[in-house]
Amino acid sequence: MGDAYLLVSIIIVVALIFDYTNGFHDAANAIATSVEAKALRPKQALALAAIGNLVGAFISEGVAKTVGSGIIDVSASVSGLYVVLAGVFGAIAWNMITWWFGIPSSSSHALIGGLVGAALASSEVVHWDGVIQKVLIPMIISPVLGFSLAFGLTALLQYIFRNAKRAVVGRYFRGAQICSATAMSVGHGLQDAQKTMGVMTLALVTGGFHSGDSIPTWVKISAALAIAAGTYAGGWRIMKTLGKRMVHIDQLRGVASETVASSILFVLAINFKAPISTTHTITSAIIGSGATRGRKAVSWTVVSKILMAWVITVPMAATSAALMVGFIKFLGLN
Amino acid sequence: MAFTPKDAVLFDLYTSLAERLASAARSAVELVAAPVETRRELAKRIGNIESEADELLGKIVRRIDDMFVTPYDRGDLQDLANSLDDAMDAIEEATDVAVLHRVVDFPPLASDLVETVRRCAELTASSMPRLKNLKDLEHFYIEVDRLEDEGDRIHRRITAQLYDGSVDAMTILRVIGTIDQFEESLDHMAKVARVIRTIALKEN
Repeated sequence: MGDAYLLVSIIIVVALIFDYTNGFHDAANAIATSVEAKALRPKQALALAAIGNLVGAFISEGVAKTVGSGIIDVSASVSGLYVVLAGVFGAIAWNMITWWFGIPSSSSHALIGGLVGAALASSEVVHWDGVIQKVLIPMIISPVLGFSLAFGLTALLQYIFRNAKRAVVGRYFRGAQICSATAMSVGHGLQDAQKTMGVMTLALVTGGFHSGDSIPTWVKISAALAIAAGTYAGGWRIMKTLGKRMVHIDQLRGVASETVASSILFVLAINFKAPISTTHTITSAIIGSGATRGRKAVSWTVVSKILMAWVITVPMAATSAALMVGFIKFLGLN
Repeated sequence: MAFTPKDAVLFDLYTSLAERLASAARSAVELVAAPVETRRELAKRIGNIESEADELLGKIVRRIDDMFVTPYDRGDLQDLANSLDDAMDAIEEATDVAVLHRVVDFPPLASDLVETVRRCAELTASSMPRLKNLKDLEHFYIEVDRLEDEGDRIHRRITAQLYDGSVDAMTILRVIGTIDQFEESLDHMAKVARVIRTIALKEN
């Protein structure tokens, strides 16, 4: 029991750190455009993003349940806990490698890949149906939808407002931007905090501290707080560099891409219980929105990077987790 | 195959502004060749064209500022209008200064320099309607670049001749303002071409 207690604690702490860094990294996704358009001051935007994360984390349990019980099934035992641990550490290791070498990745995909790889390497059950239907298919569909819907919505809005006066419409669009940025933050919390909840619940169930697929309230609260804190802390740093790196995006495109991306995050999390990459979704929506200007407006490098991340993240994180399993066996821990 | 609406009025304003530039440049060619007594009249004509250009610039800036959906990047459109206006101002200053400083004889190569300015301005005016579709502008970029280089070379030869010791200091001072401003107007037209090129790179 002592071993199980220790292992569960380690997994929970690591999952929360993972969650915190996720907020830290992705804070800018939601609020950058509204700050750039001066719809919000940076401090307000960050507070809004953190609160949005917090709210989003409590909206539904679907994604948490998918991650917690829909991907792999491990025996409730200490060796089962080592599998979860290897999965999480495998994902983190792959994230570190990609970060170090500047390879684009998705922490969500890495997490799923890690869990699958660890389960495979230790002959535990992998729910392939769940992996394919709730992970692989949505992973491909979400950026495609993001691109095409944002393209359509941008073209439509540009047509509707083609003769509009900036002095009149600009004010409403600033309001709309605050709404769409809030929706993005809620979608971010909804998607990414739940992934952490899923891992924590998986560890609790495997360690025998919890049963069934419901998510304990304290798990929800701690995951929500971790991502919100990460967002609040990381936003500052990211917003400084953002101005230089990201393409300039106007108000109309900001609203269009955020509306589309947040809708996709919502629908896939609530209706399909699918964990998808928030970064890929918003990036593809921004690209789709920019593509209304023409072919050259699309950054094909970014597109190819996303495509590459699709293909390699899951298998590489799985391999990395499998190596973790081997390492744990080598140490004779399980 | 872009889905961003293109405001016809705005593009017409740019073309009108560029046409004013060409017309001022043609009058500048006349002024350099004209006898001293008729120069004041020509300079006044150029001054009037410059006022019209200022009005057009004001219309363009207000229109860009008013539009919620701009055909191209707002900042690029602004830069383009400003550079066209800068080129115009340089031509106007060159000719006004020639009259104010009572220049009698221009150096022989001055007519070559102002001729280069005219060619560049006319090319800019005839290319401006293509701002809307951003097609077939390669020749425009290359030619403006070439004309700017040529203008630089002529300018350098003029100053070298002025400084060779045979011209007195007062004459040099009188004429140099005009010569410098003609060369300056070519620099601004090169900037116009660069901005259009930037727009074309971002779009399509």
